[in-house]
Amino acid sequence: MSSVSRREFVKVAASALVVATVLSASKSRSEEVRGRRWAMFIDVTKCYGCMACVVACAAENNVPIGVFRTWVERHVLPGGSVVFVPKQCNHCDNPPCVKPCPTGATYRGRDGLILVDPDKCIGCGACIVACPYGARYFNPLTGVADKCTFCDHRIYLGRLPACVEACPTRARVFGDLSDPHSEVRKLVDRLQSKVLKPETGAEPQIYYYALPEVASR
Amino acid sequence: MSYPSYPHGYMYPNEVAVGLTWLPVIVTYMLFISIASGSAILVGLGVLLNSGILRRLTPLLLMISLATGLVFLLGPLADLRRPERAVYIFLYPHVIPSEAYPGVSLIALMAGLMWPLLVILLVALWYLVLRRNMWGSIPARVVALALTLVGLVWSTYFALLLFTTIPVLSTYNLAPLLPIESFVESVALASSIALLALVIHHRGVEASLARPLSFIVIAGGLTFIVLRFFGVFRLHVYLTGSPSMQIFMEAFSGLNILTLILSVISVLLAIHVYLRGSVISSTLLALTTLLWVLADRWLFAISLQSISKTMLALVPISLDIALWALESIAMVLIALFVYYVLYNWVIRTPTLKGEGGGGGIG
Repeated sequence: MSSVSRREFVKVAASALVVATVLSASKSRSEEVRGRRWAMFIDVTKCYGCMACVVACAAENNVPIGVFRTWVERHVLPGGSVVFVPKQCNHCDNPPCVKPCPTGATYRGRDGLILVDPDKCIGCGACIVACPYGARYFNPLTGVADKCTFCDHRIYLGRLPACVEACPTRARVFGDLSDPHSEVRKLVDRLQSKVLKPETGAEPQIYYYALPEVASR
Repeated sequence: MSYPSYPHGYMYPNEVAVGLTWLPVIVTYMLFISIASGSAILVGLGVLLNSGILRRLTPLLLMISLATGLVFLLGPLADLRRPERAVYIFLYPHVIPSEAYPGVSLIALMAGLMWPLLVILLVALWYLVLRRNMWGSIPARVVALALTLVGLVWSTYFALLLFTTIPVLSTYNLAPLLPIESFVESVALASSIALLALVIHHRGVEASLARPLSFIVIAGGLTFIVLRFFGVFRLHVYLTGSPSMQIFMEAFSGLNILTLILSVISVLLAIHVYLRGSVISSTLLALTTLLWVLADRWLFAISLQSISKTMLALVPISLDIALWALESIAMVLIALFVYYVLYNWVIRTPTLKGEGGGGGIG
């Protein structure tokens, strides 16, 4: 009788330990989520398609050839004029890519950044399929999902993301959206900005000014 | 909302790099899930409804469900870029939503919880009904109810995946019909496979068993045809005329039409089997139903990947059949081996005897 009780006790204790570990891990990460809200404002009228941001990003983050953390789209408007629209991960508030990840490798990290833990990713591709912005890809070198991190290794050292720093026309403005005095907050408030694919409900955090309809998908 | 012009767009650069996962091994995986879940539903319902016919088929359906259910996870395993980390799904399952991990991963839920549950319930039902001869007992009925529900969830798994990321688009694209279609396909396919297995085991067709199985295919097939026709009609009304959708619609329509034609042939063959069952028509019925569901699973593979995107991700199709077909064949051979082991050493008979007979075996 006592051996059965001991076994049951061990079972219950082990289950409780597992649940507590999972909950505490998820709680500690959740606490990091609250705080600043990093966002980017992109003025399409200022981008002239030099691709400096694309090159800077690839150099900074060792992005392999053929895949992109950021890219610049070229669109021809009905009148014949050309616009260039930079795109990248939107670090959504309601991220469609985080939900399907089976191992929690993709998560909402510090200050709302959507990040990938390369050591936990199994390479199933569920997040790549789920992202409505085509911002994710398989890193051919590591075999895991990869994407823009808003250069989280730079921004907490007081530096700008590589793409923002490289932009010669200041078409990209980066900052803390929750700070009412930040430039990005003021631009979003002052200028009529749009986000990509609002109908998905993803609540993206890249705000575009003068985004033509043809490029909004 | 700009739905009147939806969907339109273009491919993103990373979509060009990743392309569409268009692999036979994934389709085989989906097909196996349909067979395993359909058989589980039939065997569970047999116990719940105390059906004499399904009772006779219990060993066969259990063997089919176990043989396919035990191996179907090999499909996604073959598809992972880091297969050595597959066990992480069990170690770090994303099933508790939090701020850092919003939502619940259906993949983790199914692989980490529903798959072991399916196998455990099948083994439990085998033990209760075939080993202990407890057909109709409360424990057997409880297990059968749980098995039916788990089978139901598995049979609609791929359709449910559509809702986990961007529900509004899935709803708009009439995806709510897909779980029902997927369910009827699974049950019809399981019935056809059971019929084929009976033909192979008995080298003939026993009318008392073939008629109910073919009736299930008729009912499932007709339901599917009505639902799919409605879905295709609606998509054509909305999407025809969009030049950017041309490529997608060609393949989508082609597979849809193929699926519809095959399902109609299946229903006709099932009617033939029902009226005057023969070995040839039963075999043809099984093969046609297999092809019907195969075509539709392929369609699912496309829909799953294009639902949240520009829907033009279809363009760069590169299908390395030589490599992936071997993996699919390997899955089929492993399933047949498991079936062989179950038949020769565990369950040992495909069917129980008729009314008043049967009972504990194995």
